[in-house]
Amino acid sequence: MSLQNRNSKILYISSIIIYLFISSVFSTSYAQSGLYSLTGTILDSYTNEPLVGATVFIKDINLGAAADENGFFRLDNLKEGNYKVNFSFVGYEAKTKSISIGNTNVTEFTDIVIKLKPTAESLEQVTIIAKSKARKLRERAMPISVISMNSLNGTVNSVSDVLTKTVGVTLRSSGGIGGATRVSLRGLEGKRIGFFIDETPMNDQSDFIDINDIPIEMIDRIEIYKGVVPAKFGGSAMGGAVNIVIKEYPDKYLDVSYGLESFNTHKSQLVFKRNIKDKGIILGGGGGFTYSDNDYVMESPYTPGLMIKREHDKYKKLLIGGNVKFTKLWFDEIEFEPSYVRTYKQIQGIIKDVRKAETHSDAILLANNLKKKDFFLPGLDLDMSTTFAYTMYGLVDTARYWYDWYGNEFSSFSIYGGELGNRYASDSHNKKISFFNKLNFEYIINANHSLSFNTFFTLANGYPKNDIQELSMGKVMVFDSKMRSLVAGITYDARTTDDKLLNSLTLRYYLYSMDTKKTSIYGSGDKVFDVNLLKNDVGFSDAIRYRILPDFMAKASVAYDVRVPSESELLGDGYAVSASENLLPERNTSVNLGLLYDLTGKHSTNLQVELNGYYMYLQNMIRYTKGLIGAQYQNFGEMRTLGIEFETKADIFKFLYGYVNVTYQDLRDVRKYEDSSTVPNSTRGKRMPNIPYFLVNGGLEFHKENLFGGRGQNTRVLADCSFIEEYFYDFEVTANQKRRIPRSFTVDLTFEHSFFNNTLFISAKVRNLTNAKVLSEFNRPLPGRNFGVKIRYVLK
Amino acid sequence: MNKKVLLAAILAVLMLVGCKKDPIDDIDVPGGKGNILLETTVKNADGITGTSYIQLIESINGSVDNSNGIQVGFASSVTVEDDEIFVFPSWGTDDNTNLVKYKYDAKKQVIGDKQELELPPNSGASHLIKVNDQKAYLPCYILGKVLVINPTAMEKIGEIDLSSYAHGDLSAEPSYGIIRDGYYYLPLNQLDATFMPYLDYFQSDVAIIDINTDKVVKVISEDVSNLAFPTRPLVKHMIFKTEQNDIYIACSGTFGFIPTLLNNGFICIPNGQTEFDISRSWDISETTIEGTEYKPSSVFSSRYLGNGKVAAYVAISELMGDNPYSSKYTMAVIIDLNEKTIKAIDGIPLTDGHSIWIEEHNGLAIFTCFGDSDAGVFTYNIATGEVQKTLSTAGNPIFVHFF
Repeated sequence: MSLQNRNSKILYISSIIIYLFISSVFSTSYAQSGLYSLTGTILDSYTNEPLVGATVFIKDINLGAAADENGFFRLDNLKEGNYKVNFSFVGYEAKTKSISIGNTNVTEFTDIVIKLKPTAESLEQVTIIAKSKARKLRERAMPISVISMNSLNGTVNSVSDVLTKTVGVTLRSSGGIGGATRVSLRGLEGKRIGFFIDETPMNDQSDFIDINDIPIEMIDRIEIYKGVVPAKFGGSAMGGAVNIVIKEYPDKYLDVSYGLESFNTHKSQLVFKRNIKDKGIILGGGGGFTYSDNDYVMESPYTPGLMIKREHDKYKKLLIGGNVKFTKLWFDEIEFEPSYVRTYKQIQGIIKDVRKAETHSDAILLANNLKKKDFFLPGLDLDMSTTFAYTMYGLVDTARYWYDWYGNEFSSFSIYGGELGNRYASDSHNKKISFFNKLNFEYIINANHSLSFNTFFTLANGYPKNDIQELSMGKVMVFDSKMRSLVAGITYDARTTDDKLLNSLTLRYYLYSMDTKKTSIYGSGDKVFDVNLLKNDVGFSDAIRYRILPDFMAKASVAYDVRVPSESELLGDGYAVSASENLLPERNTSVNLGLLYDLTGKHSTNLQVELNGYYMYLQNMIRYTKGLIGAQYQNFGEMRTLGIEFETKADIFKFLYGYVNVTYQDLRDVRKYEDSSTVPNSTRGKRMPNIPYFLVNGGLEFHKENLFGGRGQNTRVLADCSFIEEYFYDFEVTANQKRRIPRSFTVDLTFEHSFFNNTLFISAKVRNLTNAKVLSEFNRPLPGRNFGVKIRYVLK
Repeated sequence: MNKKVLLAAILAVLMLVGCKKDPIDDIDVPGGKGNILLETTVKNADGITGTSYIQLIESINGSVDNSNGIQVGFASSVTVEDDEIFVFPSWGTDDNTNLVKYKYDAKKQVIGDKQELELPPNSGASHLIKVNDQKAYLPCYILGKVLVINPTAMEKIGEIDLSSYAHGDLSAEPSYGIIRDGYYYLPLNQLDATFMPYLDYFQSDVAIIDINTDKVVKVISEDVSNLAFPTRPLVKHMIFKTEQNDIYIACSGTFGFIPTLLNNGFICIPNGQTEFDISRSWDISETTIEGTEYKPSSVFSSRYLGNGKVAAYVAISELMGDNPYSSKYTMAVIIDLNEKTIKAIDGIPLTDGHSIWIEEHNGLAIFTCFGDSDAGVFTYNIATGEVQKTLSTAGNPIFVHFF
């Protein structure tokens, strides 16, 4: 599709939105004539906890509503008059209030706080306090940020868009849709940061799902764990973790959406679900397809003024999945989830004009989940998930010529081709069989104590095949491999009766093995060596939370975590990176202290103020070491981090939500000596390069129902700003330092309008509104101002 | 908290961070003053990246950090011709592709004007050989070509394609050459995909190019002595002329990485000839280094000192640790081409693969070194054999030049 056609499409869809906007404005005056709304919050009179599901009812007009997860309720379309409003909840004394509506200039009666008293009977029993999931998580002992996605589901945002606005988080991207994205949490990144979907590790020993692959509509919330990662998640993440929690859908559900964004980006998605209650069977399915040309124009980071259109960065991704769950068998839940993922990505050159190289992958997965409460023993809960994955992937790099940005042609080094500069041609057809099993047992000893035991086992068998590489190199460079790892953990949670103190102590055991072969990477010798290793390690963490006041709590945690080396670090790539089977696991000692003041659900502002400070000391850091003509991973890094994070968010007005967060993270090289020597380290005490140290995010969200009149409509306008201070790509040793990642300040604007009580959504987004020049690393230009529109239909 | 106060705070923070601050000016004028040019390399935490610094210093005594350095690419190679300093793009893909020329101001003893010439990406260009002020040869190791440039105007004026002389692939890897009697003697490394000599072509080729026509006259081969990898593209002085105008070429072999093939040494093109004199080829891998029990497994660098004596760094495979990329297994030695002897230099620590530069100045051989416990510059008195550690550096010292 030509650029002109694409622009026409964007203009067409934009014009539809503008039309809807204008037509809504005309309907406003009609809607505002004589109709009012009543809103408020229903709380427990003793604990101030929100009463989820409490009802509000006006008998005279037969109008009612239920309180949501924050205790919030809303009654619309009330005419002027006096009403007797009844508030009730099971186990609580009902309350009736007389409310007079009208005779004022306001159309909304807000901030009504109703407190219900528990009945005497219920007070004698164990009171189960219903809290929103987000609130429960925030009150866990470990530092965690929870991003509820309910407010973002209809928008054009991606997971990246959301994460980058979170305190302590940065994303490193190679640019464009489908480009490699690395989450950096408190300055740690890569495999040190766990990536989980519904608590199942995704990047521990596999890489076939990227964080941006998950459609935002499917996400209920994103949990970001900092410093301490719950043992039940499994895996060996140590700097923190991002856990994406998938929605629990209603019994009947259909969700279809289509988004069109700049650079010929198309994103479509379908999710459906059907709950056959009488048979205890839940069926679901869905899929998504993403395509992008990614052909934005960038300025060459090497030749000032040379503008380059990214012509070889096309990306395609197809996801198809199904789900069947049985809820009336011996297990409380038995679930099977088959899925298929296909990815195609061209490789965009930065320093030279790559025209043909590309990667491809296909993954077939089958997952099974089992859940059973009181598993052979009262109070013992079982939760087990098992996944089998078969992956085929490869790199195609067989071009006989490569080009510079002026169109000059150069022959590839190898007679078999190759334009990426690898000195060999590639047409790999690699296969991998993976098996993951996560097992959690949780035993509730009593109301105050619980014990959980969990294991996470992975098996990864790799079968690489690259005939043309073998021809280019004159020998076999890669071999079949078998890797096994087991992480076992035991956690003891203790909570005082008054819920003031919560403590969570975890011990972990790590065991991993690798069996493969290797050859010398130099010369065409054919000597092959066996590699067999078996190693183990231990780690622990303890997290404590103390509730100073009902809304004000302090948190502290200490952890000594381990990250098992990845397969690529242990084995190298068989070509430029040689095997390093003696690598030790990385170890991270961390201390976190935090204060949280949280009025969510207790006050109309839902104010949250959070302050966290932390210390980390990373040892045996696995670093890439490049030498004369080759490279290898080695343990020799040591890094110390001191950081402070502040975040506040609140409903400033009923129609306006705002947030600000500030992160300062000071990561320093603390190696006393240069690697493999007692020569003093010349960068000791210097700030670690290529890691941002000062970040600020802030935003405002304006939202109003029926802003333009009509019924069942909701409008939201979001403005998000992100600031990252300039930082250096290298250690800063002189004022003449040139390679800097410049200071960036970006603004994103999102508009969303929903119709028919959140059934139809139309949204638009402008990213990088000011067209600021933004670089990732020091030489990866990111897109300038770009646009997206999206339409979504939900049938419930 | 008052809502208005919170709103004001949000807006204030956003405005504060949105304020434009002038970027710190890039300073291209180096700090430092003196008549000695020093380059050091500082590696980044990931090990794959890093940066190097060039600076002028007044003497090679004491210690020096990089606070006055000009940042150049990671392990960028430097060529000095007269009062011109040429800094090449680093190998790999993380740096720019420009050849940068600085003018050395001898009066003020500072680095002055700067000119640039954009080279093809990943060219592997790492030195130039100046024919005259209007012409220089710039071998591109990866491309397999020699660019002909005007070093004064910093313009490309031609190129010599060597792909037809390549063995097994399309690049003959033109390495470090030398001009003698109107001909440019250009060794060809002929490497496979792993940057090692082809095992079925373990020999040394030299292209002889007429400097008037820029045409290849012929390619000569030394295929008798099992010596390969003639000169290294980043290391000057591995090809040199003796007092008799004989050309000697140091051959690195396999850098000691292939235990069954440790041959390395010197080959010779005598004065007045355009062919090898095989009788003067010397495989030093069979010669025990006096003062030690070891034999060299590779020549990493060399510097001719006169009277048949060569200062060199040679690899000792037996001392190679688990990781060859960081282990210190390179020994400073004096090689006597006439007597066919090799003597270890006591007092200069074993160094790693980065710090192996050797210069000669005022009767001293100057060795850069990054040892187990000491890093900096060491001097070897050619007359007395006395060794001194004279300069401590921050990071790997990789180049030194005396104006």
